[in-house]
Amino acid sequence: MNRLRALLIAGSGALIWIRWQRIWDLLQAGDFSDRMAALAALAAPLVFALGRLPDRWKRARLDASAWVVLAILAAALLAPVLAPYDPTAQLDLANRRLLPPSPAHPLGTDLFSRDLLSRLLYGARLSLWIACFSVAIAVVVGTGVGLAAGYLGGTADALIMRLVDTALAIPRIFLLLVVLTLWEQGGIMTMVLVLGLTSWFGTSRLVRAEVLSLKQRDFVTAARALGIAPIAILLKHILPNALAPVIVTATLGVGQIVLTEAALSYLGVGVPPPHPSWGSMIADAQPFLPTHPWMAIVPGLALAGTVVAFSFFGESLQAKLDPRRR
Amino acid sequence: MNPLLSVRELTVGFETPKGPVRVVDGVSLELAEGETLGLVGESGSGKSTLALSLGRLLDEPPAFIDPGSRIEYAGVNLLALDPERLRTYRGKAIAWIFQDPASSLDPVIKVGHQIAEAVCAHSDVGRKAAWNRAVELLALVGLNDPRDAAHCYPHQLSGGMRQRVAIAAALAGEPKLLVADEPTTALDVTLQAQILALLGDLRERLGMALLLITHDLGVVADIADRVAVMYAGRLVEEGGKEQVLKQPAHPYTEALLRATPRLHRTGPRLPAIPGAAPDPTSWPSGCRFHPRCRYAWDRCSSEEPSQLSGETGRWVRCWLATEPQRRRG
Repeated sequence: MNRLRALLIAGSGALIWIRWQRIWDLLQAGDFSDRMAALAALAAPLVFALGRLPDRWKRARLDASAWVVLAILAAALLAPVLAPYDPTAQLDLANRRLLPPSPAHPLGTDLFSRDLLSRLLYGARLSLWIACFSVAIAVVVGTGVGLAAGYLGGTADALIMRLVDTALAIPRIFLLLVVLTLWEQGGIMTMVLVLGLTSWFGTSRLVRAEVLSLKQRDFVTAARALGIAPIAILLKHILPNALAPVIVTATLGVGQIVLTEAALSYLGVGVPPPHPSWGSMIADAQPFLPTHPWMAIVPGLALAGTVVAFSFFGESLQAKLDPRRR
Repeated sequence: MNPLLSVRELTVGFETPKGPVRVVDGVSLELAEGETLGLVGESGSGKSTLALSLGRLLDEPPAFIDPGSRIEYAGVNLLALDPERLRTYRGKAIAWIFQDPASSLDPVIKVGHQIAEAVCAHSDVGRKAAWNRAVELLALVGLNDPRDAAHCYPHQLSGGMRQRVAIAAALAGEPKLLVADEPTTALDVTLQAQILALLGDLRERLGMALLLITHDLGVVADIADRVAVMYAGRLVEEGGKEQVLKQPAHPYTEALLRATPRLHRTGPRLPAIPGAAPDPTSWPSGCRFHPRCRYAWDRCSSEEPSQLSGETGRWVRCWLATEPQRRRG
């Protein structure tokens, strides 16, 4: 643990040393998210040096997938500090197009002379931002609907669940394509909303099933016997006990939505250009596959790695949160 | 004096695919303030269903309570109340303790909060005051270090401590009647004695009535004032503790007592009651105990005896009461 801590302090300190000028610029003239990234970079070594992990985190023992997920999240958060160039800047259309990897451009440049490493880092930022917000919407809506269905029971439950079944029967990618094509001007926020509002069905089923099984548990009967109001029982006793599987599906959902967003961006209805997205980077690289294969392979690997990391992380969370597997 | 709790002709059943099954069938009993009634019966006799139905705690459907039933608490028919009014009686008038303390506490909430929540449900107090009251209650049920215990999660406590916590939560609303459904069955023997002593002590100090449901006659002998015996959904005998335990009138009670192990008495194998508890989907005709009864004669299988009264508060549902000479034969 101590060696790891020393490594983290040294690494984050080195980052400040190397990118000091950039951090200073961001603090002076960046937008809100740039400043947050700069502050995070500055605070990191201090947090690692002074901060003590709560005991229960220490006991949690992060496994490899958790470290990979944390690294991806850190790269996304610190993209403005880490990226050598502005991801949308066309640096020199005449002389710096389609460059192979070199010290100045570690991953080369694209057709419009934009730095690919910067685009990759900012792409992670955008993808994860979209995925996290969409999942948050899906979790809130899905949990609410599942709680309502499980709690109300009877006709209301049957009605809600048949609607969910119907929604699940519609192929999601077509639904997304139609909505996003019709709502072209919406921008990224629309995409977050649409992705979120089409991915809560599974969560609602899961929560409903948990509510139905928890309702039969003795401690719920005991709470009713104490005269506690039904709504309080639902929110204070049933909901917290149903959260573990929700957290797991949310984690798996992040990976899923990163993939869906990439697919949509690849097809041209996702993140609008010139914003960097892994999907559109792959699409841009397609004509140059025979000559500049790294342009497609790198974002492809990043995409696959992220999805796999979140899947493994979800699995390990499930093992940790499920008392029957402890 | 009016009884605290009066149950009249209570019939509780469950809807099943094969039709309704009456698990509790026409049970009547009374409990005065401060009194302890031991309700004895074997598994499947309907004791727990009876306990839960007193507060309408069964899910309806599939459960149902026959409309002719009455459950009166201090003169109020609980079965006629709307859910919101009924809730004010749960925990405040009548409180319950269940068999397995491991499953009757919420695993993800600190026990102090669980008790404080019960305190808040029945009085208008702040969070801090409710927490302090929870700590007081934990001290009352005999936990050492109640302050520390309040911060524990249920899995951090032992079985006996958990049952004490469950009792503390039940006491939070200062109930007049405590229904304890097999409160010691899930505990080991030394703890059973401690928990029983605690219940007896609390009853004395707080002046509560206690409905103690058990299959263990030893438990009843310890703390009950009166005893009611339940068999196959019906009460078969009721009376003072001494009367029922010393001179059982119903052959079922008699057989139960014979099957109870005693210290300081060695002898042949304990006589078991032959046969098995009847299936609630098809109760036997006539007296429900007749297939297992050593005295049964033809009348028992055709006609069910009514409650045949002896002295006050002492009755038995058995034809032997009319033909006592058959007991010897």
